[in-house]
Amino acid sequence: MLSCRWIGVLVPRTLFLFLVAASAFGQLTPAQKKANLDSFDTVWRTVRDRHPDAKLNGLDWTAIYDSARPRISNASSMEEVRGVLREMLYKLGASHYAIIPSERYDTPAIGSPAAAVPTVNKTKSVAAASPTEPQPPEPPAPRSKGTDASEPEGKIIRFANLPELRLHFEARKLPSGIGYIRFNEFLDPVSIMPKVETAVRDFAKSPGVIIDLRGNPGGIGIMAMGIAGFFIADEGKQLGTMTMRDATLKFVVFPRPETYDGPLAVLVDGGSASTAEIFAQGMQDLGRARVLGTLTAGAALPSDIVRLPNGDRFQYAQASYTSVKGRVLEGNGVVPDEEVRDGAVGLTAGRDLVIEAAENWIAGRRK
Amino acid sequence: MLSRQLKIGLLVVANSAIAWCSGAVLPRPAQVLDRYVQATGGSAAWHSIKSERVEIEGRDLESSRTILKASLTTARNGNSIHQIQNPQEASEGVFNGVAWAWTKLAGPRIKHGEERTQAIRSSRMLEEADWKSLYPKSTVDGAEHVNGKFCYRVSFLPSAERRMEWFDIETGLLVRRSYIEPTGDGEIAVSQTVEAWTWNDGLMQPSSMLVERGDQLYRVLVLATTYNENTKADSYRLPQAVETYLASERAGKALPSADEIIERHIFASGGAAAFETLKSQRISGNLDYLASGMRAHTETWSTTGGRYYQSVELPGLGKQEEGSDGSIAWERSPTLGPRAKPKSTLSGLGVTIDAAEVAAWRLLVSEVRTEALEKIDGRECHRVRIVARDGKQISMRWYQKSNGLLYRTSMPLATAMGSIPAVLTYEAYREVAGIKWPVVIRVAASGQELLFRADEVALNDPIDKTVFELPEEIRRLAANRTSGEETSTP
Repeated sequence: MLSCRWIGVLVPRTLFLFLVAASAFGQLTPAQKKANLDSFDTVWRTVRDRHPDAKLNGLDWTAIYDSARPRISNASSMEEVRGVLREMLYKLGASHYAIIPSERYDTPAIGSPAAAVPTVNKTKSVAAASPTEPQPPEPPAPRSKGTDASEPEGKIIRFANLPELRLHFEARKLPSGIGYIRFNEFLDPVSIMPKVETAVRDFAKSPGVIIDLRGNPGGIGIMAMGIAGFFIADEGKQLGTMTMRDATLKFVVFPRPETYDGPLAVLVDGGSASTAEIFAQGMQDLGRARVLGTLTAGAALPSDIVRLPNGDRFQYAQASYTSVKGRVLEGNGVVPDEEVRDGAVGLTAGRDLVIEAAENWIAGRRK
Repeated sequence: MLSRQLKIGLLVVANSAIAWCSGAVLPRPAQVLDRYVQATGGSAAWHSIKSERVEIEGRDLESSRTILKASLTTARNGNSIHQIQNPQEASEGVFNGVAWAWTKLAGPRIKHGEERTQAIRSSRMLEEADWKSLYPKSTVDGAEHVNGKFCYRVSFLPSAERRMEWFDIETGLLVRRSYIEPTGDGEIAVSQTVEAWTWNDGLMQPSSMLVERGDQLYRVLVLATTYNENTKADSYRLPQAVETYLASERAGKALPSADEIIERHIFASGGAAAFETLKSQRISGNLDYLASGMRAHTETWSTTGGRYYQSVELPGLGKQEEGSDGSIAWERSPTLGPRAKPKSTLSGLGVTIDAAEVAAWRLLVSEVRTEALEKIDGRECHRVRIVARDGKQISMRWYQKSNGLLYRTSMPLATAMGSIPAVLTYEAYREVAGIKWPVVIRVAASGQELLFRADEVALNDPIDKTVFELPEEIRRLAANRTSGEETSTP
């Protein structure tokens, strides 16, 4: 009764490393037309089989198939094909569904998420992904003011089916002595995690630590667990659960050998999505961090990105996320403990009001 | 196996001090057997018994541990039903010529051929009184010392089971009985030496016997005997599960038992003996994540004693490692860091090597059932449902009808985050060290598809012990954990 237990150990340990909670965005030959139809079938079937809600938000998915497939068949350009697919996905009313054009993989990395964030925050003007246009990437927050461990140019990375991305990381001590960590994607753990570890060690005697996730669209989901492990010393904690069609998994936190136990502030804004939201909400629920800034994107569905037969990539959600205290982030976002808007005052004065608010909170904790 | 059992059988005979001298006059069988019946109550008493129910218990000689507990009911007409509580919940019997067995582990089956013959023979009660009709060609072969008593040795003939009995020349009582018992995979020598007697309703029967069965030596105690209680045929009727199975079999629709399918799989994969000699395994290969286009290189080492090490090198995600030195299990990765796992995760590490599970599969499951014959990817496969020992984890396995090899497994995979259902399909096997080893495995889990291809499978090659040594940071973590556990204990 050979069970191949070794592979049973191997597979689950790596399976969810690929789950990204990152946000996204002439004439056709007969072969292209066939590839487009195959791609349509793949997209339609994947949604039917993997959408976390088996009822597909009440949609008649078969009727949608019947109406949309002929349009793919008659489409005369790739943009038209993508438009039909996006329109179909838009009806789901959920984030983390995107068609990423194959050309995007041939262009150089941009400074922020290459795949734009389709968000569905019900309370904000930012709506679900446009059915016809790929979402433009949000500009990176221009907040780096000199760092001890920064990479101004960023590191170009390519991971799985994501387009090329430029990864920035900075860790420095603010004049107040408070440690400050910021990175623009939850990606490339091989380089990011040792930097976080070094920073946490350097900040061991700091009065507090700030993790700035503003503009961070997420990335590899379990990196939220990994980073939380630097700030939580007790075993058995979790950042929430993700529910798939056939399983429910917990974002378990594994404490690191050395953890930082002082005050922790997490900064967020409308550009904070997915893994960034899971981290912020999870730490807030555990009472481990104070979240400052503005309401987050409300786009927190663990997802996967697959290559379609026509060369485009398809991002689809395959799980829903619920925090430890039962909060569903999709469409709702993380509500900061302290809302701070970095408005005109801050920008014109060259100040970062959100960081200042975090510093004030940390200073208050010391008294 | 067979030769060893025969040796044991011969040993039983050889150990009896042979005292027979040629030239002495031996009695006729009737003089020995009729005297025995007379000494134990007489022919009329023996024949007045229409049924008997015996409660027996087998105990290990050294620890007095109960290794057998059963209630055996037998009727004069040849029907029988045995209810067994130990070593596993089971029943077996004979009803109107149908020999059957049921186990909680493997469900019902019908005995055929030599196994059926043996079952029917075992259902005879008090048969020494009927030796003239059952064994008319019996012979007295000699006289010899057995268990300190001078005995006549009687061969019961004709008998396929090569049965012999020794009777005390002084008292006429049975001293020892020996026979060769056919089993599923050969024969096994059995001897029963009577240690004590008891009278019950005018009949004297053994109340304690020393039993040597193959390598096992244990004592059987008769706790209670009841006569003529179950004389109606209904008392011996087939259990419902057996009756249903028999009807399927007679209709040509019965599926082979799960037990039979799994044993065939073991045989087809190289045989239990090949797996039993397995001491180490080293597997290297690539794991392709088909949808994402990622490829991971993997290395796995394991050996006896729960020592284990596995690494997976993933582009962009770094090296994921997991291992155990036999006492501390651990894992580390760039994303989640190092972790010494809780001691509870060590349970089961004693069978880290897959192959060790093969020969000992019955120890790892509480139930197996054949559910269907169905086509998987164009292959006819028997679907077998397996419930793990804990009674919770349920998996399905599909064994190919054509060659007995495992084709697919559906099972929950445990992760630190929770359990996920997965389907593993064994697409190709390679013969290594006499064992057919799966080298191409397709995995479907949570909507993702992965393909493992082994470059190298080495079995029983020497493995450098340093492979299993704990990394220094794990050693420190484990030490902290241990001291933490100690200090937190009130």
